[in-house]
Amino acid sequence: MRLPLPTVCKAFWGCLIALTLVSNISAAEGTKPKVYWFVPDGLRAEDEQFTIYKWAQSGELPNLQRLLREGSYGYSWPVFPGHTPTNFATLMTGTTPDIHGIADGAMRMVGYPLNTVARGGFSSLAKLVRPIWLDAEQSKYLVSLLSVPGSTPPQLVKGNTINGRWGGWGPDFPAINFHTRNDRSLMLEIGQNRRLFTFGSDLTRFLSASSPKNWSLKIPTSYSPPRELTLTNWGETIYALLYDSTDDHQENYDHVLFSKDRKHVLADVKLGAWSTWLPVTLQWKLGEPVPVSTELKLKVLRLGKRDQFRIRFLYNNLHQYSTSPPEVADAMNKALGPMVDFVDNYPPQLIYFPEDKNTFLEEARFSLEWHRKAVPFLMRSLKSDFVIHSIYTPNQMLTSRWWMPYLDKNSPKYHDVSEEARAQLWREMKEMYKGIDAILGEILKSADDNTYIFFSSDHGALPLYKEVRLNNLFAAKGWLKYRFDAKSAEFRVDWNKTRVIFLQMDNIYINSRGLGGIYQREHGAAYEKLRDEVVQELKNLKNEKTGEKVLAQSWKWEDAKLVNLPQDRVGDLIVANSAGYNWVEDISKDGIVLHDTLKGGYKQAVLPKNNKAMLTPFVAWGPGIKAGHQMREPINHVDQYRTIMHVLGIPAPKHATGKVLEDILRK
Amino acid sequence: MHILFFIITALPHSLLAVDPLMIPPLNLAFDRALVRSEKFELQPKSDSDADILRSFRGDKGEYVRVIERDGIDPKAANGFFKSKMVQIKMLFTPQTVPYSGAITISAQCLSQARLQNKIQDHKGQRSVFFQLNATENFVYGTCAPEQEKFASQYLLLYCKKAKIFYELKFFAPKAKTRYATPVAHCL
Repeated sequence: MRLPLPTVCKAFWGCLIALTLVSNISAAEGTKPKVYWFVPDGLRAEDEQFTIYKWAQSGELPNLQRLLREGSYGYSWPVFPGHTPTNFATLMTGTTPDIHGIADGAMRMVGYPLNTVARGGFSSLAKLVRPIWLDAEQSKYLVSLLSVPGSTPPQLVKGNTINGRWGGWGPDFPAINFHTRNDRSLMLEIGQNRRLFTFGSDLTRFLSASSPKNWSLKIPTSYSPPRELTLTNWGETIYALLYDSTDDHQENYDHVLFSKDRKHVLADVKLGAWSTWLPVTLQWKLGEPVPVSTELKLKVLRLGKRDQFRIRFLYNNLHQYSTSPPEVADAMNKALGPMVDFVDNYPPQLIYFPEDKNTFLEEARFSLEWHRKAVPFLMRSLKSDFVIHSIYTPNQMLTSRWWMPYLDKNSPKYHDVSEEARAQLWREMKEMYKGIDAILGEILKSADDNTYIFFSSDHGALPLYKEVRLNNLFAAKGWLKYRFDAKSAEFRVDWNKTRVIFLQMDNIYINSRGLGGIYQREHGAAYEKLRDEVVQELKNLKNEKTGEKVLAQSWKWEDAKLVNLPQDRVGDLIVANSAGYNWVEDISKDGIVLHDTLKGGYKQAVLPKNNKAMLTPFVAWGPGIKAGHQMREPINHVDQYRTIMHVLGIPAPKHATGKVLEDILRK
Repeated sequence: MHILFFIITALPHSLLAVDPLMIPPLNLAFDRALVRSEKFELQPKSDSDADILRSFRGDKGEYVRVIERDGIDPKAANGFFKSKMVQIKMLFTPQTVPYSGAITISAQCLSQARLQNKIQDHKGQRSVFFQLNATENFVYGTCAPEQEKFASQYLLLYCKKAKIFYELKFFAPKAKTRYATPVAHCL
């Protein structure tokens, strides 16, 4: 006798059978189309300043120009909060955060302690509904996902998941700068921001040079005393010998010789140059170290007088532990060369010297070129017929110190540079957009008459002016209690005595009796009174110089639905900041709430629909899509999924809240 | 009485059998060329791919996915064991949180995954297995009890004589049952 299947399996198999029928019909007719959905991260596009459609039509972006001529296009609004995890989840599921569950990158939840992150919003596991890649795989597509946030741990069975970002799966080796310890001012300025996400691995490490010892290889002639560095990162040590090749009676070091053993030359690199890619074996700490064979490219950014140095190590992060199946990494490395996926770092490190800016641009070129070459590999070598492809370079550039504050007319720093300097900054910015256009060109080359191309992004970016340390405000009010642990350089919150705290990216947690233990919502007069007081403090918060209010809007958790957020994954207050401001968790002894920042762009806790700079492109091209058609009004991100599912003939689930963009379809 | 019948006859001399005592009856059988049961679906990964992936289901909501790689020498098999074990363990490692702040630092999975198993080497086979929970999409690594829809055994098995490396994921609707011994072995 057959026992009934559990409900979950009934749903799964019912869905599978239904989708199989749909795809079988298409396959039988020989009309199953291919799909390439290119979703660069943080690619701003609007009709006033970052006017990419005008750039395209003027011939600056020829491949986008063709897509506009032969397809339909317009702009698309992100959801709040306007950053990557929420908006990729929205694009990939066709739902708002109250349905897909991704309210943020690091989420606290009712029923869990606040001192730890209950759900990581970049993890594929955090979504409460199925993403489009599972829909596609069930419809017999061979899916490849390249650098797609929220795609790891891998969910695809037959398909390829390549370097999903920050999903808690696959070791990542961020680039590192080795910088002279003599530079005390940079040490003070960079503070905790020298580590990945503030508390991870080193992104900048300060160290001292010494006299060379035990070098058995022939040291090049140096006209100043050679100096030695020991550069160890991820368990791999490389010795660097700083030398001065110019016989000009000046102490001006201009070369670095690198060696793994002081016996054999690994690379001899002059100031301002990159090495070739060099083989290294890094040790990833997972209990006992796991050796990961990969490549390293190094650059000598700065040299000069004795012991002045800044050297960057950039790693290939495409390896057997970052792809599923693992063999894909090897095949891609052989075909495309080492991957540069993430330009600069988070927090940014290439923001302190002019050489940093040049290095950023070089890494951006590496990244754009690698992703361009990846397109035919995904389509032809992997035989994918459903590709979702992202690249993080636009986000990195639009939020970096160097460009946005001087390009966006709404920035307070707009007039800090000359028109000539701004023209150069626009050339650099447009070079990045041209790199994106080159990727579109490669996609067009790989497309046939039965291919759909979709081009969109998760969010735009706007200039950042001040960081807002709300927790300094709450500490001054006596609502937040903490101590500073000098040894670990971390702030230790006294959760039991803390009644109000801001936590990333847009949440304020409140409990009149203290926030220690398992977090539950408080009710009653004391809670309401305290919450009202907090709102009033936020409303009073102004930039004293400009008189601007910092708070754009706030909502009680009970009203989370008004901004399409899940009630159980938000704070007691949800807060949106005004354009130009950025909530941060930092607590500082100086107690200052509004701090200057070296970040140039921002998108997280602004209300997208109040800020045109948050708009993104949406372009559709393929059979049945109108040619040369521009949509009059911006669409919503949720509409993209519904439209893609519709043109593929795959039934969209009922929870998908967007609408099919009938306007772009030929009748 | 239910009869277990889950056999892979990948090569005439290489058989993989599921332990009848440990899993509910699946009543399934297949070989590489011929589907013998109407109850599962053969899903070859691609025509040119050396890896053969099969998935099939049982009467009580069980679901099995098997990837088999043939022509694998012992050294390559060791590499597979190592990398696959790393990929499982890294799901449960404390992570630095993206877009962290002064307070939001790391996330740690509190899952009850049992990851201490070691590779067993005997009787012509090498194997290791993990008891894990999986989401409704059959993905490991969830740290949220409400997302744990399946109890699962993840089994890596190398049949030395046949030189076949199997990666087997067995899922059953989550119940109190734990699959504490390997669900399959080489014949």
